[in-house]
Amino acid sequence: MPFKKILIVDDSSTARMIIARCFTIAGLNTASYVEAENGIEAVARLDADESIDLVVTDLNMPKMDGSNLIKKLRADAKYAKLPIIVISSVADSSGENAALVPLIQRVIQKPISPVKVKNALEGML
Amino acid sequence: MTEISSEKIRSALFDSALNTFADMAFLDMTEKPVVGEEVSKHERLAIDILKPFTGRLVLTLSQQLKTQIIENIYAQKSVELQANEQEDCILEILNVIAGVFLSECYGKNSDYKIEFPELEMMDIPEGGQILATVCFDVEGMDLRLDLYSIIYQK
Repeated sequence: MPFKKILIVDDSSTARMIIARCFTIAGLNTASYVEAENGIEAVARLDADESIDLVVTDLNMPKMDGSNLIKKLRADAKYAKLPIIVISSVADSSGENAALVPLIQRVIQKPISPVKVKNALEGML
Repeated sequence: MTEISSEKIRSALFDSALNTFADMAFLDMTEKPVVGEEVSKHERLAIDILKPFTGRLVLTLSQQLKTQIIENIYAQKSVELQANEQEDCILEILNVIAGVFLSECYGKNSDYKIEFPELEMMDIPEGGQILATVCFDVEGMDLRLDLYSIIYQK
């Protein structure tokens, strides 16, 4: 079963709860979920737990945003192939975010739903 | 924001609120006429838009509606939640509305930047103007969205 441990990165605790719920309903009901409030916490979580096999991250966060988190992970050989899904309220694909597109697997625009997650996971599982 | 008609702005604001509340809080809304608000009875929260224009989106809602939103999203009584969880919940709703609104207005090929949503401590922006207002009846409870332009002093 792919994706046994999923790291959800979002500064909103409500968003993290909704994201975990949607992934669970979308079929990842045997996965476990760990959380981080920003990119700095996310890197610490990943460094401490090698079993995390999917990162789901927001973009607009304090301290270290999703964009910088993704660039940092991709610059590290350990995380070069770690699947990343972006879930953001402003999921535009131009400007600064255009550079992220080749670095990630999927983008989901909020509001997230189990159907959106299921569609995004197609081809990843 | 002159390149987008006021009707499109209003329509995008309407759709973004309608869809976000339906998807996140499972609440049905109908539009109601814009009337003067009774600020003292309501909570206000705001989010600033920095790109592709500078503006502020202000959400005004009753305490009763705030409680309903929180309980629908968390599927538990609001009294069982910490105050910061309750606050985070309605701020996240506004964050999502702002993102959907920008996508509705400008499509996915524009460059967006929004600030973090806050409980409204800020003054109504000076030097700007109201771009659009929509009011809703949410299962008998009031909700209002105002979009202001902001002109920052250089």
